[in-house]
Amino acid sequence: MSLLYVAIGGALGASARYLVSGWMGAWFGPDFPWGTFFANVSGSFLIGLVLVLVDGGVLPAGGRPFLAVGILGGYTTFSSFSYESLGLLTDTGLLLTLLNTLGQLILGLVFVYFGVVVGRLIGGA
Amino acid sequence: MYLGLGLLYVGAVLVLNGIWLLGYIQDREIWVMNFFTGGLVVLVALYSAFGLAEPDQASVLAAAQFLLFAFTYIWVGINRLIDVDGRGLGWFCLFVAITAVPTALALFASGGPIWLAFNWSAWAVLWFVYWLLLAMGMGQLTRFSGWLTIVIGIITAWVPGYLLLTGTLSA
Repeated sequence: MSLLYVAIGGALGASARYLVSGWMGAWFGPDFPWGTFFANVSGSFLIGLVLVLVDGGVLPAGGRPFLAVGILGGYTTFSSFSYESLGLLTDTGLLLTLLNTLGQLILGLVFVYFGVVVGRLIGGA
Repeated sequence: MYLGLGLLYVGAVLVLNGIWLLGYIQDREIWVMNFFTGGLVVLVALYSAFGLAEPDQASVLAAAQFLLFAFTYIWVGINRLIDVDGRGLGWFCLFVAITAVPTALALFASGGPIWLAFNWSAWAVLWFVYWLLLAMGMGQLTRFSGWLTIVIGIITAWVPGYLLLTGTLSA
């Protein structure tokens, strides 16, 4: 059953990232991988929130395979992040590569922490 | 307590500066909030450095850290009045971004307020973006920097500043 949750969630999450990437590219311009940046940082916030709520019993245990592993696993992407960072390095130079790599890493940590804090305020573990 | 006072208005100035970067506030108006917050944070820094009965290394360090941000806002305000391209401010932002890194690491290592360590981490990224925008002339980052400034302003300054003032959060 968990595998089914993961599969359905993964399909939804990957589709959401595809849509978000398109919107972000149209909104911020084509010069930077805004879609992956936004998906990874917002996904970090959401996984912090979701897992704290699951651990605290606010969300059912099925929330872990469906929401965290499935949806957020499909929504966020490390492979696209790596490929786009390589593209930035070869096409635009070091500075935007640093912004993409360090920015996603640091802001991802900041936002997962923020998600945990919000989850605890709501009633999570 | 004074950290909360400063952070609340840093939140205000960051949110307003973000809206200004997005083009919804005029250059002729944004200097007001930058001067007010810059001045307020200078006062907080001066109290931390000289106002305590027995200033110590920690209080003077806190003052120096406050001034990093106070001077950024005052400089933003001045630049709106004298109409320059902001490259000098951009290079100062790199100085702030680099200084923020060991500050965050030291807080993580010492177990100091963990939320403050994450704040410094976020500020390092934000001030790095300002450097790219102002000193390196990466105008394609303007819209992103506006939104990032608003979001970072809310979660690292406005909210914790208010929670510190109400006693819900401790430093």
